[in-house]
Amino acid sequence: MTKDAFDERLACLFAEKNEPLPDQEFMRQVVLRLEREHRLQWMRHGVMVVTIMVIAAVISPLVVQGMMGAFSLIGKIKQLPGIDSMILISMALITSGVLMRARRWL
Amino acid sequence: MMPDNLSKSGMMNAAEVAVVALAKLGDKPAFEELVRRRQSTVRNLLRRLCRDHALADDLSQQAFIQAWKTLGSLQSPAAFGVWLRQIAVNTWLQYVRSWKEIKSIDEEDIPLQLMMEMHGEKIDLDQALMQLSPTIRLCIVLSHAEGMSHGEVAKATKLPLGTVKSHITRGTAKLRELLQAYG
Repeated sequence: MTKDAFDERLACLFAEKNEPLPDQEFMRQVVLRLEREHRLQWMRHGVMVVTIMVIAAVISPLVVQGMMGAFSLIGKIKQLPGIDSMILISMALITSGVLMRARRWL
Repeated sequence: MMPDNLSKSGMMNAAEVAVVALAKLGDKPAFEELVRRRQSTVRNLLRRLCRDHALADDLSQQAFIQAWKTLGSLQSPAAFGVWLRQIAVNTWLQYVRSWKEIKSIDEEDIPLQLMMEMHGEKIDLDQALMQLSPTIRLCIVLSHAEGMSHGEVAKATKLPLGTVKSHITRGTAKLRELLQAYG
């Protein structure tokens, strides 16, 4: 058989195999899997929300304490001789710059 | 302007682009309609790649679920068919990779001649395909069954173009040999 004739025969064999397949059982399985996937997605979202709430509940007192500490520190620094608001703003900018850089490393 | 949803009969007659656009918005009946329309194509492609029809159907289901999850990333609804075929190919490649890790000696390793003697039957295209390695089989099926160009096969399989050409040449020669000897 020549190469072209064989390629043609091969194409026919593949075409014969491409018959339409019954869809009912397959569709039922896909729908079931989709529903299971949907339920899993909701569960994942639920777990995520609960986790975020727990973390927030744990860290919020720390955040409040930290902020209060920061304000009192600023107050103390401001009382020092030779410190004006420009120096405070510069210090805040440098600190935020350092924190941004650190976030990238993390 | 597209309606928010279509009736079942309307959905069945709607153009695929419109159904894809609806499914992209999260419309489940629209996606089910896409599954109904495309299931034969995807299942037939995977049936050529696996010997086991049940496994092929299972992988097809996985491919459709993956398609549902990532439908939002589809840029053009008109490219849905090509995009879905790529998902099916990726699902199969993923299966082959995991299968290689847990591969045990089974019927796959029995030489064809012995298998033919055992079953006493003429060789069929699917059996001939199973004599090719998974990668060569994939290239052959995409090229001959799906009518893809060598470049498209290379893109779909992420193989170099030269490798794809050589796989297709060698695979076709092997198929010719098998089908002429037993067919």
